[in-house]
Amino acid sequence: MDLQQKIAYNYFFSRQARQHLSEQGLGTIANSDLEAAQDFCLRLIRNAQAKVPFQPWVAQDGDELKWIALSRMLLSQSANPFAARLFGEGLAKLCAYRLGLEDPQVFTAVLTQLYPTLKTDGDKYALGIADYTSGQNELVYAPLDGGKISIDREALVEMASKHAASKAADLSGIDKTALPPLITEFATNFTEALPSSPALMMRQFEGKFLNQGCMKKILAGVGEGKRFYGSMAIAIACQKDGLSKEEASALMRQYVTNCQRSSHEFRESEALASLDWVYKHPGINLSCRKLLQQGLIDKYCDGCPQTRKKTE
Amino acid sequence: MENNVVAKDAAEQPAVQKEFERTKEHEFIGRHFQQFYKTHQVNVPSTSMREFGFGYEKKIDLRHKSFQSQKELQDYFISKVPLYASYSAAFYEYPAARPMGAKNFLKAELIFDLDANQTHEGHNPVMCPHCQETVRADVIRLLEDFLFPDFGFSKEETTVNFSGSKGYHVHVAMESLMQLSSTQRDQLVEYCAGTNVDFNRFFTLQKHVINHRSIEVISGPSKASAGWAKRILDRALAILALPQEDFIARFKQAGYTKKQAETIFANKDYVAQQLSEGRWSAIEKPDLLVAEIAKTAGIGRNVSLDRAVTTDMSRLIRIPDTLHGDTGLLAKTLSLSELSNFDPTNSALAFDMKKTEKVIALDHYDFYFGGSSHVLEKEKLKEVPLAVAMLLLCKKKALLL
Repeated sequence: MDLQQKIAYNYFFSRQARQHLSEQGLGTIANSDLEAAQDFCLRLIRNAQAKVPFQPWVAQDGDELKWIALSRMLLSQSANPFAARLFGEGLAKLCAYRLGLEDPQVFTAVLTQLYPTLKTDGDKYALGIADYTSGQNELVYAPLDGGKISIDREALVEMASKHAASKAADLSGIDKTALPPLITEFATNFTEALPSSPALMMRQFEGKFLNQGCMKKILAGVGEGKRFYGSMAIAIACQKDGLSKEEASALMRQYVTNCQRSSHEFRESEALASLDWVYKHPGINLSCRKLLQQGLIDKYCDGCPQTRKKTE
Repeated sequence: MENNVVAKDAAEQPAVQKEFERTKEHEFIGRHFQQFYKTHQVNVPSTSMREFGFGYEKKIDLRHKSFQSQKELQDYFISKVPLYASYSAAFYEYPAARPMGAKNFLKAELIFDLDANQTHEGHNPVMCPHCQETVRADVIRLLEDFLFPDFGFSKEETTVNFSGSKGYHVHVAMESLMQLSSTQRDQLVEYCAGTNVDFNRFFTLQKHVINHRSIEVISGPSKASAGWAKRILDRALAILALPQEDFIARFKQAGYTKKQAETIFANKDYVAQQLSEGRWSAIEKPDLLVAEIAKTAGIGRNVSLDRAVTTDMSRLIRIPDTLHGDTGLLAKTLSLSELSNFDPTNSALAFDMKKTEKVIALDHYDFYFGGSSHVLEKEKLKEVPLAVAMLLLCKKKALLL
């Protein structure tokens, strides 16, 4: 296996991986491929959730690239951002493991693709501002000098793995309507095999809002472009249901964790700012119509007192 | 006024321009602004990719305008004579399209906007030298302490311009920064402002037990540090280097007792050397010193560093080298050397100081402008230089005879 192949097989986000996929394509997709992709996806999800170190591996051929592509298609059908995030995190752990094994030449060759401003000097690394801040790092605490931030290999691996997690979990580029019927059919069973959101989200709340299907759906996490509105909806629901600010904050933190992490970070502070604002303006009401308009829900919840009031 | 309007949506010119022509003061201002634009070229790089906005009563009465060429833009200035002219730092495929999403954002320059706070005692409502000076000093600090050394911005691609009123704008047109997201831009402003910095993160506290005694060792920024850590150390060393009287005063201001301050002063060379090595236990209550440093180390403590201008890429910003409708001053582009001793009341004049005009002041005014002091009595007629008349008329603080 030459260097280019090695990079392609092991780093799905690399130029070489994209080239490999565009040259080889996914071929004819059989049920066995989807089953293999499902096993792969669930394995990564388990690894993401595992508290003990998992057993990583190094890819020896291009099969894994195919499984990643199929997993993402299946996940896009499942409408389970929580599972998509775990899949991304599992893949990130794998990339981090592999990067840790690489010699400086391969390491730099891979990392430069993610961070074009990366400069190396022996075992020292430096990133430009644009790349450093793209990685959810706080610039204000960085050793910034002349537009470069010194960074050690370990921190770079962490950045790269977060980047990989974002890329893998960002399903916004997948056109669900263009997926082959076989995938759509397979996705039904696949979706059932995925983990659902953590227990906190299943909690029975005493008020009338947080127990609604719409809120449970939002609390399970939403995709990019909807996260802010989701946080506003949760904040209003918390306030209306009489949760203390502390209880609401805990719920909001869980919501942030559940939200799909994609190319743009959604910070806990952004979600908590929504909460602050809503708790300072208790007169704000929840609008089911807005939830629908923002794409946070697909339909009004059955038996929702809010909707019933309006339609009666 | 001339009628050779070339701007695309001239027909959409709002009613505000009619109001603008209503009074003789407005007519007077408009006539002089027009004369200025007939003789001064407004240069806007990448004209056709920017959105423009213009104002007559407000800073922006109409926006979403675009021009295909410099000439078309210049013709607009001459025919429509806006009092305020702004453009986007962002470049678009379709700059006139609405809503914003339809413009198809391509990239955006990075802008920093500093303005006066105007909260100090003795603020001069006509032309305040204290405000002008405070903002100018912070612009220099922004450039010399943050943008050039820390961010490594290219001096060739960084320009500064006086806003034409009380503030300054820094434009950074480095291609490597043009794709920064709003969040990333916010990080840059946050870095310069330093308002939400948790200074404890630059320090570590280790406890050692020696001979049954617990000793706390505080490690912090050293001479090997960079970024804000280096700034903390440099500021600490600068305070330690103050002459005794200032030293004691500064430490007392930070919360130290006089005795503590005197003790530190007596050992200041040793303390400075230890701090440079990152050994912050060498100074008593280092948290007090760091808190004192935190008060002034960032930009925007004395002036307003407008975060939204930097982070909101759909914002419009004053076009350099156009006139400001609140002052009649030029939003002058400055070289970095010009900035060091720039006095807008001398160097940003767009109108003559030799020609004169008679005005009636609406109140008593006493201010410095164009190299001399001007005192106007309330409701008294006075002949003043044209530039002064324009300033007072633009500020609605005088009427024509």
